[in-house]
Amino acid sequence: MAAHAPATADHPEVPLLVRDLEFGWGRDPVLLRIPELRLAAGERVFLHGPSGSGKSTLLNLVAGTLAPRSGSIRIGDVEATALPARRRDRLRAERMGFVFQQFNLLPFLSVRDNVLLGCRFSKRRRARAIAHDGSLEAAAHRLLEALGLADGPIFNRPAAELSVGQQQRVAAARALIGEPDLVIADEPTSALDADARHGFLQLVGEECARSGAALLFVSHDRALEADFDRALDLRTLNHAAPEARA
Amino acid sequence: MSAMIRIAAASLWSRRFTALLTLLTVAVSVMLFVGVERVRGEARESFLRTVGGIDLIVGARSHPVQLMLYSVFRLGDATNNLSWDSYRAIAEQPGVGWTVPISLGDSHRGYRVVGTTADYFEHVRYAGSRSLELRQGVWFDDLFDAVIGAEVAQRLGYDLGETIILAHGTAVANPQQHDDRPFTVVGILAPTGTPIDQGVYVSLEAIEAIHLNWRTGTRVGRTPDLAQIDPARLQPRAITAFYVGLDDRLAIFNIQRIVNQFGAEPLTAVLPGVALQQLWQLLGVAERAMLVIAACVVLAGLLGLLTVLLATLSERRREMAILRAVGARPIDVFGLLMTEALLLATAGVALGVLLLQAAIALGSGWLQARYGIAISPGWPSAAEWKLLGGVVGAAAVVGLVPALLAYRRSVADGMSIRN
Repeated sequence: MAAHAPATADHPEVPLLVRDLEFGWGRDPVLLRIPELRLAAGERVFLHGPSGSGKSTLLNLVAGTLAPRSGSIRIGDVEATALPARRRDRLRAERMGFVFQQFNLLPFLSVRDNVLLGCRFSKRRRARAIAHDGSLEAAAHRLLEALGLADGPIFNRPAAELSVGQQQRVAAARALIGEPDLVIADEPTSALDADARHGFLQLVGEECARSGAALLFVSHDRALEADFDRALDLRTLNHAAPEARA
Repeated sequence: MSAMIRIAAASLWSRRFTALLTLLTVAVSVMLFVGVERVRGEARESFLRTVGGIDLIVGARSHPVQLMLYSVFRLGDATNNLSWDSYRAIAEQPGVGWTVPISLGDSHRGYRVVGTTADYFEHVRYAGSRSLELRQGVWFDDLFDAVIGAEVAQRLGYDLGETIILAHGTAVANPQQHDDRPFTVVGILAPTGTPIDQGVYVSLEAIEAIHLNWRTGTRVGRTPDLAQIDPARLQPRAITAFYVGLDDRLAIFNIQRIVNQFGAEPLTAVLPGVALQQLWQLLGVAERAMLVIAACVVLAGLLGLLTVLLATLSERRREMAILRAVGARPIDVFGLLMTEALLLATAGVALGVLLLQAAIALGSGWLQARYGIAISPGWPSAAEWKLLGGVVGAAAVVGLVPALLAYRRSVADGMSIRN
């Protein structure tokens, strides 16, 4: 059974460490000021905040598609803020997996190819997937099955034909393939109904635990908080003057 | 990079209907573009093959291009004849190897009648150095014998022994017929792919004979009985032009000077190659205009390509954000759009070349028959490869627009999915 497969990847003790981070658009006042945000390996953290509180901005900063004004973002043992943009892109490919609210997939690719997209841009994740499952194909199949898409023929169907719930699972498989250190989920359940939400969270949580990835889950829905090791409020985390965030 | 090609191909496949139409637009424009170049090249080649083997053409004073066109290509009419005596005088100049006199002015159902001698069959060459061959029958011997070109035989369905009537003048609808002097087809030439195929060949004496009872374009009196006519009256007194072949090619400018300064009547001698160059210079403007028009059609095709790529760009912002999230750099997004543009352009160019081959295979017979231009399907020439490369290059430039836009957007958007 897939669930018993041991994690082969060794993850850094602290996959994400944000320190003294400051960010603002152009010459605007500071929007985010975060003294510290630390995730331990395998930890599942719930980060909540109302819309407009800077969640997406924080995620883009962690992902490296935005650069902070000052401060430090460490991804494992790498200081991301010191890297040029293209190295940050590679770091993201190698260390992080993302699941978004919805429309996560390239509609014209098959389910399998969408999952494999997760390690297209990273040698390290390809190597890890092959080391763990024997082949990329097998890795994709194992993850899809673990996430409840056991139906074989679905693997070759275009992503566009899937239901929203199925699409989110495929997106989760893509984020998890190749055992990244950090999985970041941005409101991934908001398009799902209440039952599906819980089921999805459990599956993603289990898979993260199995591979040893830390999970940073961002949502405005505090009802989901119970499923996590720790909950953070972005409004508490963020020390920037509130009027700047209006 | 191969990942990007696969993604680009899958993305295009998902929009295959639009993509196919774009591809067809490019293909048709490329077909036209390369087609114009091909016809231009082949026309030159074919004209050059036609005049091969003739060192000089001599006729009454006229523009060299005109003289060449009516005497070799049977296009247009002569302004004047030259006398038999002048012809003989030049034919006997030292260095002259052979001469072939031709007398034009009559026709048969739209095909020019060429009055000449047996030397025509012996000395005229085509496709460089190939001599004429008879597919059937013999060269004319009797007064009212005729030899016909391959196309005349094929189009009019003539066989040996066919009786034909010549018309006075070269108009296609001609009421003035030499119907009192029918000719018999005694020989059919093998095809040459030159205007030779479109000629009806009779002896110079026959031309004299059918015009014995003609004055200023109309027939007068009764047809004289040939048996009672002094053979000297059938001796040609004037011809339209003659071809000259030299023993000694160094004599060419000397002979040309003698002809151009000929005292008895104003004459012109042209080197066919030089006259062709002059013709190409005259036609150069038209050729360039054709090529420019064809290039504009290609441009229109490429603008169609640009439209298709730009139209999808906004709705594909999400796609770009997803690619960024899985680690694609902005340059990868740029590469994706460029790859799509180049895939479409390359496939369009390839299809265009294939369409052209098909069009040539279908239309070459007609082109050969109608204009004497021999084109056969085949790999693009070096010049055509350059054009094709130019089209792909232009597509790359056009593709830069959506690719740069996508690049800038993917830098600005990051992973944020904007709907």
